[in-house]
Amino acid sequence: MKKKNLPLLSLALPGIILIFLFGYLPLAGLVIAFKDVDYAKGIWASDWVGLKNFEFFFKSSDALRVTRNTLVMNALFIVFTMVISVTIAIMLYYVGKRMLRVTQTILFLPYLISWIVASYALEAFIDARYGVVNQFLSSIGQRTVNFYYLPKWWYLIIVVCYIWKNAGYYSILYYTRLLSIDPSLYEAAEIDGASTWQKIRYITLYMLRPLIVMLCLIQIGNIFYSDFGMYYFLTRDNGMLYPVTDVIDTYIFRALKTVNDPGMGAAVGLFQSLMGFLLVVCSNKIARKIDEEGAIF
Amino acid sequence: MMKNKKRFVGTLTALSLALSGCVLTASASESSQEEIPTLTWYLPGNPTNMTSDGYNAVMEEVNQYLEEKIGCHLEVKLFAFSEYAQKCSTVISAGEPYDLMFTCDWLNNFATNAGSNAYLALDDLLAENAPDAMADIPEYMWKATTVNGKIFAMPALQTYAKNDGIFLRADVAEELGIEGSSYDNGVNTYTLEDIEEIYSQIVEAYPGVIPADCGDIFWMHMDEAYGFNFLGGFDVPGVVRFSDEHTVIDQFQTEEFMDYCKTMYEWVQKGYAQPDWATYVTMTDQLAIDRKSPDHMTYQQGFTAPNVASMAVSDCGWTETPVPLIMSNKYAVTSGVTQSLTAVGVNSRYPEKAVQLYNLAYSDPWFVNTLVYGIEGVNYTKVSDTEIEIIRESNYANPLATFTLANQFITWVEAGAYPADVWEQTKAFCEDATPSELFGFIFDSSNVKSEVANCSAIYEEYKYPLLCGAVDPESVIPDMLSRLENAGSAKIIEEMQRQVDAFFEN
Repeated sequence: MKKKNLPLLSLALPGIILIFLFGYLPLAGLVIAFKDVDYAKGIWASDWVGLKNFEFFFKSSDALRVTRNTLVMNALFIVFTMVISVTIAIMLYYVGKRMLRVTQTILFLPYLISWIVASYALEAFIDARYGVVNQFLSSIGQRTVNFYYLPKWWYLIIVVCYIWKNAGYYSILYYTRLLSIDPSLYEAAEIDGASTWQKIRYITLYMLRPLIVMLCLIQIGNIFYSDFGMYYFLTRDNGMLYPVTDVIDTYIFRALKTVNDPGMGAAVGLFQSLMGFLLVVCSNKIARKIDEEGAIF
Repeated sequence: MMKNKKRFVGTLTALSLALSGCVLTASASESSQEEIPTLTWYLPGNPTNMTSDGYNAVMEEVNQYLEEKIGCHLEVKLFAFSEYAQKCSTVISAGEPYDLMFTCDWLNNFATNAGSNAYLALDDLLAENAPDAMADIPEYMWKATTVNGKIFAMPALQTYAKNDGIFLRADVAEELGIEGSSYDNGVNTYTLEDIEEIYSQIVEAYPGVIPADCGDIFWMHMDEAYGFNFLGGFDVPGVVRFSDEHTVIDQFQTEEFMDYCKTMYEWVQKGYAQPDWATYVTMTDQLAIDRKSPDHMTYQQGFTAPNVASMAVSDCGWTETPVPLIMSNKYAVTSGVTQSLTAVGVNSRYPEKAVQLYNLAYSDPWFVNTLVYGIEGVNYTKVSDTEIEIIRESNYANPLATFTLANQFITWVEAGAYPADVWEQTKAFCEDATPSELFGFIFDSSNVKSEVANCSAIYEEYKYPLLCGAVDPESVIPDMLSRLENAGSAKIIEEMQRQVDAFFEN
């Protein structure tokens, strides 16, 4: 270890401690997935049941549907967040320099708002009787739409809500990366007669590529997980929307709230993590081929 | 490029910090081995109605009293109803050595917790430490808290008999000339069609009014009206009919279920129920239902007993006691008892004292009422022997719910909101109920866990749309049944039948 790296490494220390406490220590708890938990005996002494806890999810006829929903939604999120937040970052860089602080705050604000609050805001828009959209529709003599009954709309609604909440956060990450680009590159390009579009394409996007790849990789690692709060609160856990909005996390919550078995919950959690892990390893391999620097390891 | 690498390390660290975003919470400090032990009691309630000062003052009084009576102190861990179940499952999973915990079939599920031994078996403790409770609680009630042959919780005395029906606002009943039912079995009862007829009269007489109380799901309170005894909860296939308690059937395949869903579908079409009932009934706050509105004319809440009439008065802000329209006989079923139980933690350090404390809550009006209402003159004023007035702006304004404690029948009532003799009335109401033959039967789902998990997940997809009349049951129910079939509903019924047979053999 080089001495000059020490300050940087110490910067990482709180993160490392957190990851150790919450990422590595709980790994021991994975045994729960293979146990029939008996509180009188305690976790360690409970009986081993092999893979029995995994059965319930894989035997379920809904496993396919919820896995598909989870993957499709997350894929949409990854693509749209990436495109939109990179666009915002570039716009900020080229146009928005005047009111930077205000813009940044506005962009970042939704990230801090909880889904519960957001769900009421959403309701104000799409409520069947009093929502803005339906009030507007009826004022121009159109039939109103009860969005909470119609699953097909929810691809759009969920993606828009997700972007509303997260795009600002990611765009700030991209923007900070943009700030570190050496201005002489642009000056050189200008002298060579590059147009703005060419500058964006050949300098900005090129410099952003490693970060884009890295952030996407992190999101792919979590692709089997969903933001439970978003699906649960925005849809108000509404059965009619399940064909689109039922994801692994909400399904598990619903199924296990009747039987209350920590073993079965842990089993699905382990499955989600394993799949995520495999995906990250694979996509990292691919990323390495595209751009050496974007790969995480 | 080395420079870039370094920048990424920084970004990565910042990211991991942001992503992990966890908060370290201090672990609960264990009470040191003092001479007088402090017992912890987990309860659901309204913690926002008290401040820590108010709580401390009340506990000081209570603890002084307990020191003399039992030689212990008490610490109440009070959580809002909405977060109680989650808190308890954390406490249980962590193996925390708490002493008493409220548990039931609708919150912090008793059967599953008892099934995985989260609670202590009380058989050897009760006779010696809870003589009053043992003497007064009918023996059949203890059967309802017996799992695998052992008593895992102590039942509370509250409205344990159930019937079905609704309440109609007094002035509306008078206007329409509708005569209410009697709380006695079978006197002037109503059917669902009769109720529908009344709704059509209301709609005619009061244009623009939506007559059905959409603050809840009617079906869950139709079990006695349809003669069903639900064995595994509302979301799990498997009921018996009171007319034949030996045969388990799948309630979702019955004609009654189809009829009920059709009726609700019609109600929504005809404007007897809210058009978007299904979408907000799932939310706990039910913003769309304003029970205090002058257009709100009916009330339903689990069962139709004298004390529920008083609840209607306070929930809806009515001035007169409403008229009950009762749809069934009264039955004492397991779920009437298991709706309020108290268990002792399996890791409790003072199980004897915990049971004694519960017994005191059962038999000592001063103790239980101080716990619920606080200090006289500070938190409430006495109106008569059993009636009080709560000082709403005080720092301990009725944060606990009386029905969660051992004996609701010895608690005082708020003057005006309830008749002074409400508990005598309620006790009488309960005492002439017909006990179900399967009283005390609790379905043990451990052999069919996967099936129960998957079936209830599927049912929940259809539950609110069907029960709140959002979809046409003719086309939706067959669809649901075939999916339930695939998820193993027949296997659940089979297992339940086996357990019912075994129950009758013993």
